[in-house]
Amino acid sequence: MRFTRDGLLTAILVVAALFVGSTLTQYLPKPDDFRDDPFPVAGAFGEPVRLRNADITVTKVQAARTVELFGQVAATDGVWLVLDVTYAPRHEPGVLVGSQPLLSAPDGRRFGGLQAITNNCGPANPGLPVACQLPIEVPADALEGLVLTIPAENGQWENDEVTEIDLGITAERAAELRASEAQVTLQEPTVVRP
Amino acid sequence: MNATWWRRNRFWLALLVPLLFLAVVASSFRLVNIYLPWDWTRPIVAHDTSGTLRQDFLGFDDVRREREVRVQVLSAVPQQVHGDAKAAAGAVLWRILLEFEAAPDQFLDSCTIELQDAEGTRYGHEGGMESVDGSGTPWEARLAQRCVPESAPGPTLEPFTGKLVPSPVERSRTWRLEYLIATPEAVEPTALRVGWHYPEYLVLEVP
Repeated sequence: MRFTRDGLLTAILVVAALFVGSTLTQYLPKPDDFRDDPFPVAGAFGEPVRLRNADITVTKVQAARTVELFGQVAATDGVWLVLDVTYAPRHEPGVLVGSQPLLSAPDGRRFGGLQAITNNCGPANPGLPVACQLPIEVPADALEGLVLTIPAENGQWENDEVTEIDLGITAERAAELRASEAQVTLQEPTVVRP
Repeated sequence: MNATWWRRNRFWLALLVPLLFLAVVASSFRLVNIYLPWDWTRPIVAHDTSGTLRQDFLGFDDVRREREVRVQVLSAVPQQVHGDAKAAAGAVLWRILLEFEAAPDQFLDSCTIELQDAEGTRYGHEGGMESVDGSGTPWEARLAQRCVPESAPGPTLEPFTGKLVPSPVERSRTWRLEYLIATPEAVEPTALRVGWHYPEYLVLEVP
């Protein structure tokens, strides 16, 4: 084997390229860092949020000390936030299972899941949206700045779309909600005009 | 790099094309092994109101079985009220009569039946209807989604073991069942989809 000037230059270039490449790779985000991240779809209170399979609109937020569904009553020391939601699947039938919506507080706490009382939204067919009331129990100190997250597919919190709906609860509104002593009887899902 | 370099390395350059293709194919394993088999991705289009679904499927007891069933759409009639169900405002109920034909030992419980319009939008049997008496959910209509006769369903699934339990009464070779599916009033269904296990499903014309 005979070393030539071109050969040496090539070897140096290859080593340099490997060095630069491996150094850059260390600083680039790794697939594991974001492989399971959801795709957030931001929205506002009162506006339809368009997920890949359905439109979701929060039309009203009210507070209760007690909620009732099918004769079952559940009270809380915190606040039952009752969200009036319209669920409109677009291309195939769907249901928004009541344990899916989560409320996220600015400090990172999340509320929802399977609770004393959960209410489904649906089943619904495309073109025939359903209005429903979703109760979520939250501590009294967590109301301000709550964001509603709902996955496009029930149970699918990774690699899929998730709503991020700011409920618009200011400090004043949080105080109003906190003071509520109401009992809300939850309505069954009903079909509404699109 | 001059023309000589390209000529000298032409074999490796040509090999790049199939290698890149293989790299793409190898990275599609999630699509092929996970996503496609676990959704309705293989339509069997009958181009008729009658068709036969053939598939082999893995049961909950890890046993692979063959399925062969013929389905025919006998009629699809729009109406506002049927049984305990009425169409919601702006909706219409399609009363669908299906005929099934299969060997008595075929496992045919738990099917999915949907109407489809010309745009491909699908409509299920639960949404878009209300109870006639205003009490909320029309349970009778909503629970009627079976593909086998209630009195002689054929093999059914044992809930905890996933094994198939033989029918106490042998199912006849043909039977008829009725379904209700709500669509918006303006929708004209063009096809009916029926399937048991992902990913194959039958697409039939609506008479």
